[in-house]
Amino acid sequence: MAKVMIVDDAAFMRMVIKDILIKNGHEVVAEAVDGLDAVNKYPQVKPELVFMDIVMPNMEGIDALKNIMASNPDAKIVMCSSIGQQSVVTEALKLGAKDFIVKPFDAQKVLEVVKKVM
Amino acid sequence: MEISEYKEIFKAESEEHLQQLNEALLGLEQNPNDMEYINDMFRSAHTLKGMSATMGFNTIAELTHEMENIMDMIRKSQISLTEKIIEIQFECLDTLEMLVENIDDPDSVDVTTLQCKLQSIMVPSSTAQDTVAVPPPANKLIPDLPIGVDAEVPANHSTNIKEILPCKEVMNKEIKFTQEELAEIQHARSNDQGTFILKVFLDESCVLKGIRSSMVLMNLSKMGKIIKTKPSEKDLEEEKFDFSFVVVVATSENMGSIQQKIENISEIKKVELISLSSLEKTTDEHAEDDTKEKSIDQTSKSTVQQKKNDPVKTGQSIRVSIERLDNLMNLVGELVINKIRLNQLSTDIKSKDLEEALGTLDRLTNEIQTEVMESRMVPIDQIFSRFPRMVRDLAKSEGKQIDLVIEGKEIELDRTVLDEIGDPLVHILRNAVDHGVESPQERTKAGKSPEGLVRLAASRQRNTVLIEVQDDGKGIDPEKLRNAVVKKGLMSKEEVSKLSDEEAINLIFLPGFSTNSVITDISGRGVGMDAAKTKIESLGGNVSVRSVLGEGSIVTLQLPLTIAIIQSLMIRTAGETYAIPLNNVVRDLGIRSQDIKTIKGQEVILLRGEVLPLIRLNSLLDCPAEVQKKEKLIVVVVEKMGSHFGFVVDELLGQQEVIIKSLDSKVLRSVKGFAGATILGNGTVCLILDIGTLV
Repeated sequence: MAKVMIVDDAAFMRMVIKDILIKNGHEVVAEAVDGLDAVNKYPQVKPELVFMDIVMPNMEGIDALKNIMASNPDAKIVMCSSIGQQSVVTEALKLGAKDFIVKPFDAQKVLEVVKKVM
Repeated sequence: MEISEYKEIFKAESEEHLQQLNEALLGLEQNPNDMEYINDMFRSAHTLKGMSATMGFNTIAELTHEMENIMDMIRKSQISLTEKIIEIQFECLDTLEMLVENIDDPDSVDVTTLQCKLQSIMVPSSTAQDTVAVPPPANKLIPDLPIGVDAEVPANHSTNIKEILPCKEVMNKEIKFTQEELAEIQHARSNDQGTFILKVFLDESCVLKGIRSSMVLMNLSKMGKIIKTKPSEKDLEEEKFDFSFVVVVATSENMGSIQQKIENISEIKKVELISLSSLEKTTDEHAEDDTKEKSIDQTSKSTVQQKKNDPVKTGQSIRVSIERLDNLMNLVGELVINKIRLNQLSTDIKSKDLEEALGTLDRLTNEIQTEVMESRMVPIDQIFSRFPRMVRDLAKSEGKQIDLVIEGKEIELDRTVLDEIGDPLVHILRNAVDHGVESPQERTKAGKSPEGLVRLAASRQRNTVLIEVQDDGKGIDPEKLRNAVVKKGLMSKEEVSKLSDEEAINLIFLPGFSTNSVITDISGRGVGMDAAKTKIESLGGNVSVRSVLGEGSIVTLQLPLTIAIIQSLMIRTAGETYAIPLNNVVRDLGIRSQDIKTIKGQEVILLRGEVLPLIRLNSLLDCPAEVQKKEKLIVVVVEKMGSHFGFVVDELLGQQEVIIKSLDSKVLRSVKGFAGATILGNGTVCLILDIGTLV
């Protein structure tokens, strides 16, 4: 059971992850619509795990990651990637992202990631 | 959550993204160098791709993937933006729109030609990119080394360690070390580190194998030094391997902890590892671990990027289906009816407490009503936003240059009204482009700039919204219209000559009328304006046109903010109760029958020096006239597009809000003069007059 924040500009994608998590007993403590929103919400809700989309308006996922990691070195951030973003994901992992999942999301994978990262 | 619910949200959100893509692409066409548009398109296409892949809509996912790629290539200056690319992207958006529309039947949309076109954009430059890609620097391989050299070493410049190591699985594939690598192994040894050979198996469902493998390498490099991988790190990154790879790592950690740490990475099926212990010692000073430093270095470079000053959107909104809002509105309607009924009942029961309670109920119902109405209001931009694309396409196909200016797109209208005015506006805009604005040559000849102006403006005026469609084209010639109308036998010459120029111009709304002798495929045969007028009037709105020959025309739409609940003046004539929308009512007055004059057979009355035409409502509605002539008459003055009329009625019953129930059946819809019906507090049904079509 993990307290999760989902960051994605598409409400649809947030819902997909949220459903998977909630159905399996995790708690979604916050949703953020872009990187900036995530950076603002992180200290308020202190999630145990963050699912971070990469391509977003206002602030991209990678910058949100840097930003959150800078003040919360223990933050557990999982990047939500699409095929074609390998280089960004690699960079994110180097910057401290704990894991990544690939769209389209597979429920098993999402849960595996939560389990392994927590 | 049901799949159908997902689908609904998917569709709604996809449409938004397609709209954004359209807007960005239009912007890009205007300002090809504006990176912001490219970035916007990239983002929207990317989001769509992710969403559609999640839903399993592969065609959409593929198309958006290619769009995204193209945008990315433009962004990285790998290809330059051409008109052709923009054209194909527009085509792509249209196809995507169709795909989203027919989400359940994706095969109905043929995408093969489009895909070919998309490919044609990318192919030449993507090969170019390939040639640019630097081939990996050839590893400096060295002659045989003294480690259990096998007689059957296949390559001269490498060492096969097959024989040295006891492990079966891992060693099934040959691992060859260069001298430097061997040196590193020796060096690790001298530092009391063990060297391990790991065979890592990925889950077969793993999608981004490259990154997964690099995650493994990253984890390993935190424990020690990676000496070698097979395939090479570059091939791993490029996913040039099946589902397993081999890593040689020097570390002081023990086997169990390595295994556990690696197996704890997602999508790792299993790890096999053995210790490489039978290597001879050599010395080398150069093995230095710089991987770690590099990664630390990059972390410290992190910066905060904050684009735009837009206020941060918070996720404090939810999507509600229109149906639900409609239901809510209906319920509020019923509530209002009941409230009115209660008010009526309370007049019989004189109780102060009851009155107080009813007063509160009154206030609360009003608040609920306002809230529900507000929640149904949507910015007019929702339909305006599709016009730039339409006007652009029209202008292009006609060889015209048009600058479309949109104003007041933030003005809000009731969802139902908004849904209905889209088509009429399309007709009116098309007319402006097709019949209004001249070709660049004609314009230059007339001393105008070759680029025509079409202005689409919304503004709020009290309880109505005005939408103006203005063009600076050739204007409408009233004389031409008069002639055309006579020629078509729609009106007699005499009738036409009576019309003022302004009235003549409004002949374009006459059913089955077109001034353009050449029928274009754009505005069709002029049925559009008639249909547009009917539609707007059925919403309780008005349409009129003003025009100056040679300077342009303005079509003005006047629309009610909402059509669900309206304030009405209740009147009685010929024993029937009717509601007149208060929007149309100017005032009421009492007149004496002897003051009525007759001009050309039309009853009129002089009101403050102005002639007010009088209409006997009972005869207009074809109801039996009152037998006795009354000395005093009651007149309700109504307004229709700036002109005033006086309805002679029998009785004024007062002002009241009524809930419009539309006359939906096929039979009733064709009856002109009524905006709908309503249920009164006492349960009786009453018709609502539609001034627009009545007079």
